[in-house]
Amino acid sequence: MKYYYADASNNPVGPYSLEDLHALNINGVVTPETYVCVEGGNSWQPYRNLQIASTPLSSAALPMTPPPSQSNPSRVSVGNAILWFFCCLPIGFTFWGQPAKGWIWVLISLCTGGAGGLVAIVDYWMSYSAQEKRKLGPWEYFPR
Amino acid sequence: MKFRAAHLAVAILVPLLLALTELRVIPLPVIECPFEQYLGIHCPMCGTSRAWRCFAAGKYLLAFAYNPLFLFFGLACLIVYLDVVWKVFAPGSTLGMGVIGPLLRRPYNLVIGSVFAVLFLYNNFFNKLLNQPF
Repeated sequence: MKYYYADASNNPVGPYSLEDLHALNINGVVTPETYVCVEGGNSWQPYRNLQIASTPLSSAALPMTPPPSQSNPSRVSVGNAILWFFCCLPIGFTFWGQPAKGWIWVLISLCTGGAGGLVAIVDYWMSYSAQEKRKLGPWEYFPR
Repeated sequence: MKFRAAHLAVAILVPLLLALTELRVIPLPVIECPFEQYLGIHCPMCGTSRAWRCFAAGKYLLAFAYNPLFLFFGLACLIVYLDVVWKVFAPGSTLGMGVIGPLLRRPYNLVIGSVFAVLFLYNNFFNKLLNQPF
């Protein structure tokens, strides 16, 4: 039995075996909140519920329906985001799972005499907006 | 592996660069707070690094005068840093949210918001130390 998972852009990726999904989970690519769907099925569910996944249908290549629109149940409210934006940027980033990115922005600000802080502010706002809908990857929106 | 390597690099770089800058070993410019630089206001965290320098020099009262919450901010930053180290060994899990996550929930966020608001007013209207050269 193989599975698809919904990536950061909400597109199905796969198919992967259960063992592959576990490996992706260990590497941080697939989180417990990531939606997965059995190959040929049309029922998307969080990875943590995989053990009670629905039975597969035929050998269709892709799931019949797109991944469900996701809202992050552990999203940070705008009040909290603004509060920690004013006080310590890395703490704000930590709340949506990006502490390393927060620290990197501090270092970039340090090396650029504060100018990098302006880019960090834009990144902070983009990350905040995205985390309202879904769980973010640890480096999402960081320019690479 | 890529995930762990990036976090490991951050876990090493952050204390190293901050320490080298603080000790003036490398000539990086002193960090300028964007709020102060571009908006001309002091954020609630303003004065924390100066407070820690005073604290390290044994000037405890002066440290609290620079920022009464410097211990809180320092502890929070330490937890966030340890969260990065944690993710090196346990990708996908978190240490930081387990410790500071409750700060997002009521009534803690309301208390912190109120304290920060008072601190914001104190830093901008009453704390004359922040406008003086360190």
